[in-house]
Amino acid sequence: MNIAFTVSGNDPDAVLDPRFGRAAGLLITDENFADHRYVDTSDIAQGAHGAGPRMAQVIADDHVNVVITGNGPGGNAMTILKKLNVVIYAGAGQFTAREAFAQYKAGNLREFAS
Amino acid sequence: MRIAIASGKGGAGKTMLATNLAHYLSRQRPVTLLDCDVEEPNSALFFPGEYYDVRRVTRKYPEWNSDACTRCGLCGEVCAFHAVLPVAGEVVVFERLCHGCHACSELCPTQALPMAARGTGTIRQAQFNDLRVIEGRMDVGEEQAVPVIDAALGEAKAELVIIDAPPGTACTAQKVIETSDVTVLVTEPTPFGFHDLTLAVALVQKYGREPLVVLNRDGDPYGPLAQFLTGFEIVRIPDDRTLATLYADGRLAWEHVPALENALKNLAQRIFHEKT
Repeated sequence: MNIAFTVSGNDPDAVLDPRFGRAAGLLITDENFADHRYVDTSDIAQGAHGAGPRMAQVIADDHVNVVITGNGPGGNAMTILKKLNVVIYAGAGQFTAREAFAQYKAGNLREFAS
Repeated sequence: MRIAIASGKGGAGKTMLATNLAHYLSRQRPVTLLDCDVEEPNSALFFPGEYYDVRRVTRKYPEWNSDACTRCGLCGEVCAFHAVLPVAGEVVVFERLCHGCHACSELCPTQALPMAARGTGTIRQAQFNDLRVIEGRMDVGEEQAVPVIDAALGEAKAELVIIDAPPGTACTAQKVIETSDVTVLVTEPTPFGFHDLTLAVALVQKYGREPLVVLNRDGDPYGPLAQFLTGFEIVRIPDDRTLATLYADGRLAWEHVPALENALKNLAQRIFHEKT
Protein backbone atom coordinates (compact mmCIF):
# COMPACT_ATOMS: atom_id res chain seq x y z
CA MET A 1 0.00 0.00 0.00
CA ASN A 2 1.22 3.49 -0.86
CA ILE A 3 0.59 6.50 1.35
CA ALA A 4 1.25 10.00 -0.04
CA PHE A 5 1.77 13.17 1.99
CA THR A 6 1.52 16.64 0.46
CA VAL A 7 4.85 18.25 1.36
CA SER A 8 6.87 21.38 0.68
CA GLY A 9 10.15 19.50 0.27
CA ASN A 10 11.88 16.13 0.57
CA ASP A 11 11.95 15.96 4.36
CA PRO A 12 9.79 13.59 6.47
CA ASP A 13 10.36 15.87 9.47
CA ALA A 14 9.13 19.08 7.86
CA VAL A 15 5.57 20.36 8.30
CA LEU A 16 3.17 19.31 5.52
CA ASP A 17 2.03 21.61 2.76
CA PRO A 18 -1.71 21.88 3.58
CA ARG A 19 -2.62 22.34 -0.11
CA PHE A 20 -3.30 19.43 -2.41
CA GLY A 21 -2.91 20.57 -6.02
CA ARG A 22 -0.29 23.19 -5.38
CA ALA A 23 1.92 21.30 -2.94
CA ALA A 24 5.59 21.37 -3.98
CA GLY A 25 5.79 17.59 -3.88
CA LEU A 26 4.54 14.26 -2.60
CA LEU A 27 6.32 12.09 -0.09
CA ILE A 28 5.25 8.52 -0.80
CA THR A 29 5.78 5.74 1.77
CA ASP A 30 4.63 2.20 2.43
CA GLU A 31 2.25 1.24 5.24
CA ASN A 32 5.10 1.17 7.78
CA PHE A 33 6.69 4.51 6.86
CA ALA A 34 9.78 2.34 6.26
CA ASP A 35 11.16 3.81 3.08
CA HIS A 36 9.94 6.91 1.37
CA ARG A 37 10.49 8.56 -1.94
CA TYR A 38 9.88 12.11 -3.09
CA VAL A 39 7.97 13.15 -6.21
CA ASP A 40 8.63 16.76 -7.21
CA THR A 41 5.41 18.39 -8.40
CA SER A 42 6.58 22.01 -8.43
CA ASP A 43 5.79 22.24 -12.16
CA ILE A 44 2.12 21.58 -11.29
CA ALA A 45 2.20 24.09 -8.45
CA GLN A 46 3.41 26.80 -10.81
CA GLY A 47 0.86 26.12 -13.55
CA ALA A 48 -2.01 28.56 -13.93
CA HIS A 49 -4.84 26.06 -14.29
CA GLY A 50 -5.95 22.61 -13.31
CA ALA A 51 -3.40 21.92 -10.55
CA GLY A 52 -5.83 19.71 -8.60
CA PRO A 53 -6.68 17.30 -11.45
CA ARG A 54 -3.01 17.16 -12.49
CA MET A 55 -1.99 16.18 -8.96
CA ALA A 56 -4.72 13.54 -8.95
CA GLN A 57 -3.16 12.17 -12.13
CA VAL A 58 0.20 11.86 -10.33
CA ILE A 59 -1.59 10.02 -7.53
CA ALA A 60 -2.91 7.60 -10.17
CA ASP A 61 0.44 7.17 -11.93
CA ASP A 62 2.22 6.43 -8.64
CA HIS A 63 -0.45 3.95 -7.49
CA VAL A 64 -1.19 5.84 -4.29
CA ASN A 65 -3.96 4.37 -2.10
CA VAL A 66 -4.08 6.90 0.75
CA VAL A 67 -3.46 10.66 0.69
CA ILE A 68 -2.71 12.58 3.90
CA THR A 69 -2.99 16.35 3.51
CA GLY A 70 -4.20 19.56 5.16
CA ASN A 71 -7.11 21.39 3.58
CA GLY A 72 -8.41 18.61 1.38
CA PRO A 73 -8.61 18.48 -2.43
CA GLY A 74 -11.09 20.57 -4.44
CA GLY A 75 -14.01 19.31 -6.50
CA ASN A 76 -12.16 18.68 -9.77
CA ALA A 77 -9.43 16.65 -8.07
CA MET A 78 -12.01 14.72 -6.05
CA THR A 79 -13.80 13.69 -9.25
CA ILE A 80 -10.67 11.77 -10.21
CA LEU A 81 -9.66 10.61 -6.74
CA LYS A 82 -13.08 9.03 -6.27
CA LYS A 83 -12.69 7.13 -9.56
CA LEU A 84 -9.37 5.87 -8.25
CA ASN A 85 -10.89 4.87 -4.88
CA VAL A 86 -8.15 6.80 -3.11
CA VAL A 87 -8.87 7.43 0.58
CA ILE A 88 -8.17 11.04 1.65
CA TYR A 89 -7.33 12.18 5.18
CA ALA A 90 -7.37 15.96 5.68
CA GLY A 91 -6.66 18.14 8.69
CA ALA A 92 -3.01 17.07 9.04
CA GLY A 93 -1.57 20.38 7.81
CA GLN A 94 0.08 21.22 11.14
CA PHE A 95 2.00 17.92 11.39
CA THR A 96 5.24 16.73 9.85
CA ALA A 97 4.90 13.70 7.58
CA ARG A 98 6.28 11.46 10.36
CA GLU A 99 3.85 12.87 12.93
CA ALA A 100 0.95 12.69 10.48
CA PHE A 101 1.73 9.04 9.83
CA ALA A 102 1.58 8.34 13.60
CA GLN A 103 -1.75 10.20 13.80
CA TYR A 104 -3.05 8.18 10.86
CA LYS A 105 -1.99 4.89 12.48
CA ALA A 106 -3.61 5.96 15.75
CA GLY A 107 -6.86 6.63 13.90
CA ASN A 108 -6.87 10.32 14.76
CA LEU A 109 -7.28 11.72 11.24
CA ARG A 110 -10.71 12.28 9.73
CA GLU A 111 -11.55 10.92 6.33
CA PHE A 112 -12.20 13.71 3.86
CA ALA A 113 -15.49 13.75 2.00
CA SER A 114 -16.10 16.54 -0.51
CA MET B 1 -17.62 55.85 -29.10
CA ARG B 2 -17.00 53.40 -26.31
CA ILE B 3 -16.22 54.65 -22.83
CA ALA B 4 -14.97 52.09 -20.32
CA ILE B 5 -15.58 52.85 -16.66
CA ALA B 6 -12.89 50.78 -14.98
CA SER B 7 -10.85 50.67 -11.78
CA GLY B 8 -8.21 48.55 -10.23
CA LYS B 9 -9.96 48.24 -6.90
CA GLY B 10 -13.43 46.76 -6.66
CA GLY B 11 -15.97 48.93 -4.88
CA ALA B 12 -14.33 52.19 -5.95
CA GLY B 13 -17.50 53.40 -7.70
CA LYS B 14 -17.56 52.00 -11.25
CA THR B 15 -21.22 51.05 -11.25
CA MET B 16 -22.26 54.26 -9.50
CA LEU B 17 -20.43 56.31 -12.11
CA ALA B 18 -21.45 54.20 -15.12
CA THR B 19 -25.16 54.17 -14.26
CA ASN B 20 -25.33 57.88 -13.42
CA LEU B 21 -23.19 58.93 -16.40
CA ALA B 22 -25.26 56.84 -18.83
CA HIS B 23 -28.52 58.26 -17.46
CA TYR B 24 -27.16 61.80 -17.49
CA LEU B 25 -25.91 61.55 -21.09
CA SER B 26 -29.13 59.88 -22.29
CA ARG B 27 -30.92 63.18 -21.65
CA GLN B 28 -28.96 64.61 -24.58
CA ARG B 29 -28.48 61.66 -26.96
CA PRO B 30 -29.12 57.92 -27.29
CA VAL B 31 -26.85 55.91 -25.01
CA THR B 32 -26.23 52.24 -24.38
CA LEU B 33 -25.12 51.23 -20.89
CA LEU B 34 -23.31 47.91 -21.19
CA ASP B 35 -22.65 45.93 -18.01
CA CYS B 36 -19.54 43.87 -18.68
CA ASP B 37 -18.94 43.03 -15.03
CA VAL B 38 -20.45 39.67 -15.94
CA GLU B 39 -19.42 37.88 -12.74
CA GLU B 40 -21.52 40.25 -10.65
CA PRO B 41 -23.57 42.47 -12.98
CA ASN B 42 -25.57 45.05 -11.05
CA SER B 43 -26.06 48.07 -13.32
CA ALA B 44 -29.53 46.78 -14.17
CA LEU B 45 -30.58 47.14 -10.52
CA PHE B 46 -30.66 50.88 -11.12
CA PHE B 47 -32.91 50.50 -14.16
CA PRO B 48 -35.71 48.14 -13.16
CA GLY B 49 -37.96 47.15 -16.04
CA GLU B 50 -38.73 44.49 -18.59
CA TYR B 51 -35.53 42.78 -19.65
CA TYR B 52 -35.57 40.19 -22.36
CA ASP B 53 -32.89 37.65 -23.30
CA VAL B 54 -30.98 38.70 -26.39
CA ARG B 55 -29.10 35.44 -26.57
CA ARG B 56 -27.42 32.63 -24.68
CA VAL B 57 -23.63 32.56 -24.78
CA THR B 58 -22.28 29.13 -25.58
CA ARG B 59 -18.82 27.58 -25.45
CA LYS B 60 -17.34 24.55 -27.12
CA TYR B 61 -15.89 21.67 -25.14
CA PRO B 62 -14.91 18.08 -25.99
CA GLU B 63 -17.21 15.17 -25.21
CA TRP B 64 -15.50 11.85 -24.67
CA ASN B 65 -16.62 8.88 -26.73
CA SER B 66 -15.46 5.86 -24.74
CA ASP B 67 -16.07 3.37 -27.58
CA ALA B 68 -13.92 5.26 -30.09
CA CYS B 69 -11.09 5.97 -27.61
CA THR B 70 -7.90 3.88 -27.71
CA ARG B 71 -6.58 5.35 -24.41
CA CYS B 72 -3.45 6.65 -26.15
CA GLY B 73 -3.28 9.64 -23.80
CA LEU B 74 -2.42 12.23 -26.46
CA CYS B 75 -5.37 14.46 -25.43
CA GLY B 76 -3.95 14.85 -21.93
CA GLU B 77 -0.54 15.78 -23.30
CA VAL B 78 -1.82 18.52 -25.61
CA CYS B 79 -4.25 20.17 -23.17
CA ALA B 80 -2.52 23.25 -21.72
CA PHE B 81 -5.20 23.62 -19.03
CA HIS B 82 -5.45 20.02 -17.79
CA ALA B 83 -9.12 20.09 -18.72
CA VAL B 84 -8.82 16.69 -20.43
CA LEU B 85 -7.25 14.06 -18.23
CA PRO B 86 -6.68 10.43 -19.16
CA VAL B 87 -6.72 8.58 -15.86
CA ALA B 88 -7.70 5.12 -14.61
CA GLY B 89 -8.70 3.90 -18.06
CA GLU B 90 -10.99 6.84 -18.72
CA VAL B 91 -10.71 10.34 -20.16
CA VAL B 92 -12.15 12.84 -17.70
CA VAL B 93 -13.24 16.18 -19.20
CA PHE B 94 -13.48 19.23 -16.94
CA GLU B 95 -15.78 21.40 -19.05
CA ARG B 96 -15.23 24.52 -17.01
CA LEU B 97 -11.45 24.34 -17.24
CA CYS B 98 -11.65 23.95 -21.04
CA HIS B 99 -10.68 27.03 -23.08
CA GLY B 100 -12.23 25.60 -26.25
CA CYS B 101 -8.99 25.46 -28.26
CA HIS B 102 -10.01 22.23 -30.05
CA ALA B 103 -6.47 20.77 -29.75
CA CYS B 104 -7.53 17.48 -28.14
CA SER B 105 -10.46 17.15 -30.51
CA GLU B 106 -8.49 17.87 -33.69
CA LEU B 107 -5.46 15.77 -32.75
CA CYS B 108 -7.31 12.70 -31.45
CA PRO B 109 -6.35 9.89 -33.87
CA THR B 110 -9.76 8.23 -33.54
CA GLN B 111 -12.03 11.30 -33.28
CA ALA B 112 -13.06 10.24 -29.78
CA LEU B 113 -13.39 13.83 -28.54
CA PRO B 114 -15.95 15.62 -30.74
CA MET B 115 -16.69 19.21 -29.69
CA ALA B 116 -20.10 20.01 -28.24
CA ALA B 117 -21.62 23.29 -27.08
CA ARG B 118 -22.86 24.26 -23.66
CA GLY B 119 -24.36 27.45 -22.21
CA THR B 120 -22.12 29.68 -20.10
CA GLY B 121 -24.00 32.97 -19.79
CA THR B 122 -26.85 35.17 -20.98
CA ILE B 123 -27.06 38.61 -22.61
CA ARG B 124 -30.24 40.52 -21.82
CA GLN B 125 -31.43 44.05 -22.43
CA ALA B 126 -34.13 46.63 -21.81
CA GLN B 127 -34.92 50.00 -23.38
CA PHE B 128 -35.79 53.15 -21.41
CA ASN B 129 -36.45 56.11 -23.75
CA ASP B 130 -33.01 57.02 -25.11
CA LEU B 131 -31.18 54.65 -22.79
CA ARG B 132 -30.63 51.00 -23.62
CA VAL B 133 -29.28 48.79 -20.84
CA ILE B 134 -27.49 45.60 -21.92
CA GLU B 135 -26.20 43.14 -19.38
CA GLY B 136 -23.86 40.18 -19.69
CA ARG B 137 -24.40 37.61 -16.94
CA MET B 138 -22.27 34.54 -16.39
CA ASP B 139 -23.97 31.35 -15.23
CA VAL B 140 -23.40 30.43 -11.59
CA GLY B 141 -20.40 28.11 -11.22
CA GLU B 142 -18.66 29.13 -14.43
CA GLU B 143 -14.97 30.00 -14.24
CA GLN B 144 -14.22 32.00 -17.39
CA ALA B 145 -15.75 35.43 -17.85
CA VAL B 146 -14.09 36.56 -21.08
CA PRO B 147 -16.40 34.67 -23.51
CA VAL B 148 -19.45 36.30 -21.91
CA ILE B 149 -17.77 39.72 -21.96
CA ASP B 150 -16.92 39.21 -25.63
CA ALA B 151 -20.53 38.36 -26.43
CA ALA B 152 -21.81 41.39 -24.48
CA LEU B 153 -19.41 43.71 -26.32
CA GLY B 154 -20.70 42.27 -29.59
CA GLU B 155 -24.27 43.29 -28.75
CA ALA B 156 -23.53 46.98 -28.10
CA LYS B 157 -23.76 48.59 -31.51
CA ALA B 158 -24.91 52.10 -30.53
CA GLU B 159 -22.88 55.19 -31.31
CA LEU B 160 -22.28 55.95 -27.65
CA VAL B 161 -21.67 53.08 -25.25
CA ILE B 162 -20.85 53.42 -21.55
CA ILE B 163 -19.30 50.21 -20.25
CA ASP B 164 -19.34 49.12 -16.62
CA ALA B 165 -16.05 47.16 -16.72
CA PRO B 166 -15.00 44.27 -14.49
CA PRO B 167 -12.75 45.27 -11.57
CA GLY B 168 -9.04 44.57 -11.48
CA THR B 169 -6.44 44.48 -14.23
CA ALA B 170 -6.81 40.88 -15.40
CA CYS B 171 -7.85 39.66 -18.86
CA THR B 172 -11.49 40.51 -18.10
CA ALA B 173 -10.75 44.22 -17.59
CA GLN B 174 -8.23 44.18 -20.45
CA LYS B 175 -10.88 42.85 -22.85
CA VAL B 176 -13.05 45.90 -22.14
CA ILE B 177 -10.26 48.49 -22.05
CA GLU B 178 -8.67 47.35 -25.30
CA THR B 179 -11.94 47.69 -27.21
CA SER B 180 -12.80 51.13 -25.79
CA ASP B 181 -11.93 54.59 -27.10
CA VAL B 182 -11.77 56.25 -23.69
CA THR B 183 -11.02 54.69 -20.30
CA VAL B 184 -12.21 56.35 -17.12
CA LEU B 185 -10.55 54.99 -13.98
CA VAL B 186 -12.40 55.37 -10.70
CA THR B 187 -10.43 55.49 -7.47
CA GLU B 188 -10.84 56.50 -3.84
CA PRO B 189 -8.48 58.20 -1.34
CA THR B 190 -7.30 55.03 0.44
CA PRO B 191 -4.06 53.02 0.27
CA PHE B 192 -5.93 50.23 -1.54
CA GLY B 193 -7.51 52.66 -4.01
CA PHE B 194 -4.12 54.25 -4.66
CA HIS B 195 -2.28 50.96 -5.11
CA ASP B 196 -4.75 49.51 -7.58
CA LEU B 197 -5.01 52.79 -9.49
CA THR B 198 -1.28 52.65 -10.22
CA LEU B 199 -1.78 49.17 -11.73
CA ALA B 200 -4.80 50.27 -13.76
CA VAL B 201 -3.02 53.38 -15.08
CA ALA B 202 -0.06 51.23 -16.16
CA LEU B 203 -2.48 48.89 -17.95
CA VAL B 204 -4.24 51.69 -19.88
CA GLN B 205 -0.86 53.16 -20.82
CA LYS B 206 0.16 49.79 -22.28
CA TYR B 207 -2.56 50.40 -24.86
CA GLY B 208 -0.91 53.75 -25.66
CA ARG B 209 -3.62 55.82 -24.04
CA GLU B 210 -4.01 58.09 -21.04
CA PRO B 211 -6.93 57.43 -18.71
CA LEU B 212 -9.26 60.03 -17.29
CA VAL B 213 -9.27 59.64 -13.49
CA VAL B 214 -12.31 60.10 -11.28
CA LEU B 215 -11.55 60.49 -7.58
CA ASN B 216 -14.62 59.20 -5.78
CA ARG B 217 -15.43 59.89 -2.11
CA ASP B 218 -13.10 62.85 -2.24
CA GLY B 219 -12.68 64.24 1.28
CA ASP B 220 -9.72 63.56 3.51
CA PRO B 221 -6.86 63.35 1.04
CA TYR B 222 -4.55 60.36 0.98
CA GLY B 223 -1.08 61.84 0.48
CA PRO B 224 0.53 59.29 -1.85
CA LEU B 225 -2.57 59.29 -4.10
CA ALA B 226 -2.69 63.09 -4.24
CA GLN B 227 0.97 63.08 -5.22
CA PHE B 228 0.47 60.39 -7.85
CA LEU B 229 -2.44 62.28 -9.38
CA THR B 230 -0.38 65.43 -9.99
CA GLY B 231 -0.35 65.83 -13.73
CA PHE B 232 -3.49 63.75 -14.34
CA GLU B 233 -6.73 65.29 -15.47
CA ILE B 234 -9.02 64.33 -12.63
CA VAL B 235 -12.68 64.78 -11.81
CA ARG B 236 -13.69 64.75 -8.16
CA ILE B 237 -16.88 63.34 -6.66
CA PRO B 238 -17.15 64.45 -3.04
CA ASP B 239 -17.76 62.06 -0.16
CA ASP B 240 -21.51 62.63 0.21
CA ARG B 241 -23.95 60.85 2.47
CA THR B 242 -27.00 61.56 0.32
CA LEU B 243 -25.24 60.03 -2.67
CA ALA B 244 -24.27 56.95 -0.67
CA THR B 245 -27.79 56.55 0.71
CA LEU B 246 -29.43 56.82 -2.71
CA TYR B 247 -26.93 54.38 -4.19
CA ALA B 248 -27.53 51.88 -1.40
CA ASP B 249 -31.25 52.12 -2.18
CA GLY B 250 -30.57 51.23 -5.80
CA ARG B 251 -31.41 54.71 -7.08
CA LEU B 252 -29.69 57.12 -9.44
CA ALA B 253 -28.26 60.03 -7.48
CA TRP B 254 -27.19 62.68 -9.97
CA GLU B 255 -30.52 64.54 -10.09
CA HIS B 256 -30.48 64.84 -6.28
CA VAL B 257 -26.81 65.57 -5.66
CA PRO B 258 -25.63 68.74 -7.42
CA ALA B 259 -21.96 67.88 -6.81
CA LEU B 260 -22.41 64.62 -8.71
CA GLU B 261 -24.21 66.36 -11.57
CA ASN B 262 -21.31 68.82 -11.77
CA ALA B 263 -18.80 65.98 -11.80
CA LEU B 264 -20.70 64.23 -14.62
CA LYS B 265 -20.86 67.46 -16.61
CA ASN B 266 -17.16 68.00 -16.08
CA LEU B 267 -16.37 64.40 -17.04
CA ALA B 268 -18.57 64.56 -20.16
CA GLN B 269 -16.75 67.70 -21.29
CA ARG B 270 -13.40 65.97 -20.94
CA ILE B 271 -14.63 62.86 -22.71
CA PHE B 272 -16.01 64.79 -25.67
CA HIS B 273 -13.38 67.57 -25.51
CA GLU B 274 -16.09 70.21 -25.30
CA LYS B 275 -15.20 73.76 -24.40
CA THR B 276 -16.40 74.93 -21.01
